[in-house]
Amino acid sequence: MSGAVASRYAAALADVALEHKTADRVKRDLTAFVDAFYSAADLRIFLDSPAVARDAKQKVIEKIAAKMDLTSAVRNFVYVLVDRRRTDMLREIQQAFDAELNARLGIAEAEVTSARELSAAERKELTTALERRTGKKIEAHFRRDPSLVGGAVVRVGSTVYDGSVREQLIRLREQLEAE
Amino acid sequence: MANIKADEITKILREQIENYQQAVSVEEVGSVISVGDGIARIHGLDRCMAGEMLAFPHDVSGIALNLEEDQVGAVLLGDYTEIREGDTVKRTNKIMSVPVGEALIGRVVNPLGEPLDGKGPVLTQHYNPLERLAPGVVDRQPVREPVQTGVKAIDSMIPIGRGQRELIIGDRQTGKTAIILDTILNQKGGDLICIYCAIGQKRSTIAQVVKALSDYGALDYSIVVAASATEPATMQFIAPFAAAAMGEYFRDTKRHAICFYDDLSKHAQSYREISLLLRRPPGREAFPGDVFFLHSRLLERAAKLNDQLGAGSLTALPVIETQAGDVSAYIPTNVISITDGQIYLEADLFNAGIRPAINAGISVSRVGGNAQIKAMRQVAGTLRLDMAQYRELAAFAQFGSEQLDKATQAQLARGQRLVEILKQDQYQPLAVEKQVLIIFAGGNRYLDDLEVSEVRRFERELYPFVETNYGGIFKTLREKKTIDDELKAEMIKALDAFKESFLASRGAAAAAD
Repeated sequence: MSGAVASRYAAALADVALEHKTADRVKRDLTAFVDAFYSAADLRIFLDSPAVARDAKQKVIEKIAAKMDLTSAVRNFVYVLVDRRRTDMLREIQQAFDAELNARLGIAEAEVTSARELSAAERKELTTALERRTGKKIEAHFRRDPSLVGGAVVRVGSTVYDGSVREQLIRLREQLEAE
Repeated sequence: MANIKADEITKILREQIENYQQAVSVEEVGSVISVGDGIARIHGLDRCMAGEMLAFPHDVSGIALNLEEDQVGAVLLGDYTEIREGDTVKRTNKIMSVPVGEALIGRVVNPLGEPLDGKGPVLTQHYNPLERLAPGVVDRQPVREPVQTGVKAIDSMIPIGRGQRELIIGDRQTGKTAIILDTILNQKGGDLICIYCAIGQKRSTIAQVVKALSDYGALDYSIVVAASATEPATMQFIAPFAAAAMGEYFRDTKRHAICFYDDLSKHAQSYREISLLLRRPPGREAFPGDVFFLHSRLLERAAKLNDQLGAGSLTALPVIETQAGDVSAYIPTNVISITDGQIYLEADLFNAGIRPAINAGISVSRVGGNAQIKAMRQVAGTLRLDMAQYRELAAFAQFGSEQLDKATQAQLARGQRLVEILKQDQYQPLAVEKQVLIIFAGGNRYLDDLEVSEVRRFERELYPFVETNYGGIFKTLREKKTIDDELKAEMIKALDAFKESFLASRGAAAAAD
């Protein structure tokens, strides 16, 4: 599986980023570069192509890095990927890097779906409650789904906390059917 | 008729709804990445345990078998055609369990304990996990009580004890299932509960077995667990474990049960199918590396518990079908080394009319001797020796026996007659006291001067004769289970009397011709 390869590169980059205490910067720069890479088809063809000499690629990357003001860690990382011909896996590596960093910093991403839009105070309350429960720093993403009727569903990793009215109605039906 | 008003119903429902706890449900979920051939690959389920039951949509359940870095491989039970990519899978925190208990006796069920016989639902409160650790060393004791199979050749020379694991091995069509059926029929009126587990067999064959059992009234103390050849490999794979779980219930409640796994070759094949689909590395004959462990942990669950635990027992009689008599293939050698002995059935013997087609020379029982009743041990000793000598001489004598000396010829004649008394028709298990009597007769030269073709008639007529004229012999054998001098004298007397009348009747028959 390619997941194993991506996670190796991601883990190495995370090592470097955490050692230099520039995790946020590295994360931001890597995301920026990956977005640029996938939005510019020319750049992608250029970097992926084995016909282009390594020196030429390095020069281009150097210029882009200067223009985007990338940190040296990210620039060097891209050099390594070019040398190893792994630039086609940039997106996977970036995702693996985010996950790796979250795991090392004790951050968990939570996906919160609620029936109606939550107020800022409610969001804060929910986030602190989740942090207490999971013992991790929560980075919450909020979504709205009216089909829940009421309440909210929170997904952290593969654990789902379902406090929605829809789920309760389903369970009530199961209970009544069972009797 | 109790009338209930509409508003009363509403009230009950309202109470229900008001008292309904408003708990937030916490579940661990994953999503199906791919599904096919009864295997699902699932993303998520980080803390899923090996062997855990998973809940899929449409009431399909699965067992997690492969835990990998970023996915879980699970086998699906039930109708998996409705499962789609992206479906949500939930953990249940439970190990797969099957219903067990008295309610199953007399029933035909599938490996999930669901009835197949149309006799209504199985009502039981007891459930046992499919996979359970076998009893440890201190929980056991040596086998000491016999399992009477009712087959003369087995009970005399390859005795099986309660708690033993005895393999039945042979080619197709050599009477493996026939031995099982006779053993089940012979338990009538006894305290042994029989669990017949059919793995990967034709539905028609299973139907025949069930019919035979019910015709002879053997279903009253039997359970049939059936996973036919048309069922998914998963069902065939869990079938013997389900049967063992049902047997363990009786073992642990101070009773005695016996499981027949018919057959483990098919079981190994179903496990091979699952393993290959789960992309486990194939080994010899493409079986996965842990196929030995698969069978050893199944058969290890057969045990005789010690007295503190109630002295219950679970006996296992696995069956292996060989291809062209090849017992050195992978699965046969595995199971031979796990079990406490094996009963070899041979196509050549079967075709020569020796049925059951047991090759007594290479069949062994490593522990059952201790469990044999004393009377049988007393008469079977000479039988074993005579048979061994006969086999040795028979190999020479194939080229003509005219030039052989008297003693050798006598030995050969004796052997031929002993082979004859070990023959037995199907569905006619024989009580142990009758077995003792006929083997005693064979060992004490009562058959030597009969024609070989007469031996079976001699046996047939002997039992009713002794029953009516010397009924005390069978009674004493049943109760004392040993042959003392007094009984021996009585047996000799009875046999002398019968022989005389038998020879007289033969003379009469010859004269009539």
